[in-house]
Amino acid sequence: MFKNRCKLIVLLLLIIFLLTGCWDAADVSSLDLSTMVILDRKGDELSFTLEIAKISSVSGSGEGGGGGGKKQTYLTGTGKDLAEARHALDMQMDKPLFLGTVRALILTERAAANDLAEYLFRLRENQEYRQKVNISIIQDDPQALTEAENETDQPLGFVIDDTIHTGQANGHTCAVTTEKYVNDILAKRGFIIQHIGLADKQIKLDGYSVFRDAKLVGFISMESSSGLSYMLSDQPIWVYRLPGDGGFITAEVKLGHREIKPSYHDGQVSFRVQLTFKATIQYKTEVSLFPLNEQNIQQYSDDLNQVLAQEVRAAIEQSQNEFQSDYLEFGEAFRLAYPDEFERMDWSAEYLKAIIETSTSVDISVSDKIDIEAS
Amino acid sequence: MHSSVSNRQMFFLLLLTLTAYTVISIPNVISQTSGTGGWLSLMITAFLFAVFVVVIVRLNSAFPGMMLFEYSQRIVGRIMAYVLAVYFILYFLMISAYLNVQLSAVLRAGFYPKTPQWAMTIASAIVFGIVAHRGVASVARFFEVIGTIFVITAVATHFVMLLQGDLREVQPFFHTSKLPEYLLGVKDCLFAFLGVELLTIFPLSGKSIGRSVTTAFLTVLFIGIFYAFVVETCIMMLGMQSAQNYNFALIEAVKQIDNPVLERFDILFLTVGFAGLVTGVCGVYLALVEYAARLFHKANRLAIVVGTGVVMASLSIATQSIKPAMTVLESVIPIAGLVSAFLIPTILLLIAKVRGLVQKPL
Repeated sequence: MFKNRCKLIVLLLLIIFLLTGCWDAADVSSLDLSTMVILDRKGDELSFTLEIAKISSVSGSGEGGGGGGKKQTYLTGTGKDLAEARHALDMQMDKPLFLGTVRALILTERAAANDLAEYLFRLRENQEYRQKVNISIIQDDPQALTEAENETDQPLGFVIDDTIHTGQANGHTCAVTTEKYVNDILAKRGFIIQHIGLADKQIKLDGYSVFRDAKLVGFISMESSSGLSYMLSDQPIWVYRLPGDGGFITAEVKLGHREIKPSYHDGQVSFRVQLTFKATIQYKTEVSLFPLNEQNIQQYSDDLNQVLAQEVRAAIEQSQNEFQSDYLEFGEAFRLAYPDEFERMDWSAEYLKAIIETSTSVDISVSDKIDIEAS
Repeated sequence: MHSSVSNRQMFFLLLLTLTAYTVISIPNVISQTSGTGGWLSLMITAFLFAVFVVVIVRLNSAFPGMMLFEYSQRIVGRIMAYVLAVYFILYFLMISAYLNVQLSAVLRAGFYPKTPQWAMTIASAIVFGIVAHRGVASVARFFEVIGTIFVITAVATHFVMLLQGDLREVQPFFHTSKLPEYLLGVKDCLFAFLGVELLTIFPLSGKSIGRSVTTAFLTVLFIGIFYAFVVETCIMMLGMQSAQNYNFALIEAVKQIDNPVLERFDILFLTVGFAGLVTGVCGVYLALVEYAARLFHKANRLAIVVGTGVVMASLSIATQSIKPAMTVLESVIPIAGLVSAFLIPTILLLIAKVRGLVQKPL
């Protein structure tokens, strides 16, 4: 009996020491909780700007930026490299910094131009960050971003993260995880990163930054990114308003099926891209309602198909000619079909010479709510 | 020793011992060697070790209720039995040091960067000691309980990864021109299946030998499939290039899971996955205790458990401090492992057959 009790006491004591919270426990109010990190480059100097959420009236030092009545403060550290910039930040911290709450990582275009790979490798090594954290590019100065507003005065990191997630849920963006970018860099693939901007001090997803050899080479605006999203997104949704039946007809278009067939003959790489869309007519202009007959629906479908085909072709040509980067992932389709040939070739050079044919089709219908025969 | 383990317990013993640490590092190893055809290297190795385990089970079954040290006295005599026991003790000491170092390294790299490795080693050695002190039958039951939770959680986790990962990263599944690489990859998969020799300390009942042999064979094949599933889903989550860069690729892959209910999915590793790892090391500790108890049969079991723990922890801490020690262990263990898992049991079985000590299975 006595022996069993002794064992139990020893076991309980052991459990106390093994509990993670008992050894290095730190109260949440004794930490500076960061919600966003912005990396910027000005000339030879790199800077980190941290957004720190105020969780109590005494939290946050407020040095180096904005603050005021806001619920968050901003700190900036500058140095010749990433380590120096971080060191400069650490020298300003009145409490230990906690990075596990970071929801958005932002790089200015100046920093993304050359420093993205090093920053991502640094991020991968740092266990403090959430490994699923979103990364975005901005054109503006970090200072402008810190002045962004939102109705609930939430930390900007949260707003950006939520905006990206909402865009993904609505089928409007094709952002991926940070880990995917690291994998693309290591595999020497081109890729795109979500670009954000400010519209009347409000955060807005405004397009994609294009990368080649881990360096920023261009920008695709959201308005002209439909072709890109049809090639990359899982469930892209776009709305089109085209002339039809004497006015304009609006239809929602979803990607039904995407197939990329590579072929390789006499040293020539070719692809055949087949996209099937599902379009739903929603409404039209003019005071008269429907009817739409089979003939003008078919005419509208053909017109829509032409527009979609043109958008996809433009997206492919832009990647081959303007940015010379295979961010549309044709290389992956080719690698799967011709792994030996892919290994032997310089894909980045071969992609530019690849012949890519596209064919699109539209399966059109009218919204179930509408009686198209009503007059 | 009259207690024996059931077939179900043998399944979990093999599963947890073999996958203890390797399941964390195997995606990294496979992505560097066999690439997208890694599943084939794993299955070939699984088949080889399934044959090895059949030899051990057949040998154990021929001597019901006995462990290797006891029946080897009848097969090759008392002196050779002692030599074999010393060999197995040295081998399991190396394995325990290797596993302890890796266990604390995983915890340090992934979860507790500030905690010194020696502290983790000492704390874990105490836990392993308490478990090992309970003896073979209790540990087998412990494996059964933890193993059930481990398998369910692991399969569910990797199924989610299968749904969320990028299938293209593990394609093409087979490519003829890469066949030599797949075959060479077997050499790097050996580590993943070492641990079957632990069965030498677990006596079998000797009843329905055929069923025991079939269970052991299928268990190792199942472990091969399990490894392949883990490797493929991890690479799908991380990407082939990234998987090559992570020592503990499984943990990094689990961190990538997007789950609205459980934000930190890697907590599952800290609980269930880590329990599996601890159980595996407990098995090795127990093997050390059992062989030491036979060598020093007059000594008190508690003294043997404590002594084994002290030696094991000291060796682990020394291995952590001396960098080349780990390299030596990594090069010696596969060879010593093949001797323990295949050569010794095969020779013993052959001699036993020649001497008419092994009857045909019923």
